[in-house]
Amino acid sequence: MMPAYQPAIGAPRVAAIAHPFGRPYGDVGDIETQRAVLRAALQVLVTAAPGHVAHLPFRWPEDPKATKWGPDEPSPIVATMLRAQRRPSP
Amino acid sequence: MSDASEVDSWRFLPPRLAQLLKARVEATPTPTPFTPLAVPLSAARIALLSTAGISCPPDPPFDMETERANPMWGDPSWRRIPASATAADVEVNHLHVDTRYAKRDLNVVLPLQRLAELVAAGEVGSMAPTHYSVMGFQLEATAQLTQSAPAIAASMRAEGVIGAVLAPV
Repeated sequence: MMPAYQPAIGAPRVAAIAHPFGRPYGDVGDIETQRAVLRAALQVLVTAAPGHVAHLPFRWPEDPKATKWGPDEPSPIVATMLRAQRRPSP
Repeated sequence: MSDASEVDSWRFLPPRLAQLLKARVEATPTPTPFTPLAVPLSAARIALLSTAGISCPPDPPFDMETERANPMWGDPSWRRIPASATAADVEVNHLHVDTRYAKRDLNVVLPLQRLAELVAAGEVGSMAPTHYSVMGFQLEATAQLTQSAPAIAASMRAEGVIGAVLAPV
């Protein structure tokens, strides 16, 4: 989902996909997409050269801004950052 | 110029968070290890790995309380997930994504049923008896890299795994 990290982490092969965090293989109950994504990732395992990033053609049906992927409660680090932003400057 | 056919790493992120994470991408490049697949996929034993923080009771869940107390810390441990596991058999603990999807259908993060179908169809040689999860929030990944990753690799080798697919969440 975040192929830009490949050089920093040295992943041997990357199957990049424009799916939201929390649902990399597809939506709940979407058996066809889940199977197609796994099949495509396995093909990357078979065919990719070292460090290659294959951009898979799957597209998420919802607009990113309308896609719920984050937790209801901000993660601890995000909550900490939000508190720091709200603190008045000295 | 960006190519419309390429996946935008920052597509689902609010702009400020994307900006913060982009800075981490600019870190020193890491060498890329590579081992060619030794056999055709139709003869290969495959394992799946997820960063969703999946655990199977009675194994302990990933430690969220320590992360709540120390937001810079993420549990670096790992868990085994049997090939037969479904959403009813697991806990999913990850404070950075909505885990309700994985709790309803484990295949959205760890597609064990889909892999079993590809094995049954003859596309994949066999399914490892064990699959794996870590918890992906690791600002400082040394413990995961030096302890959990080698242990997972050793477990995969002991079960004859030829290839693995890791899906981050």
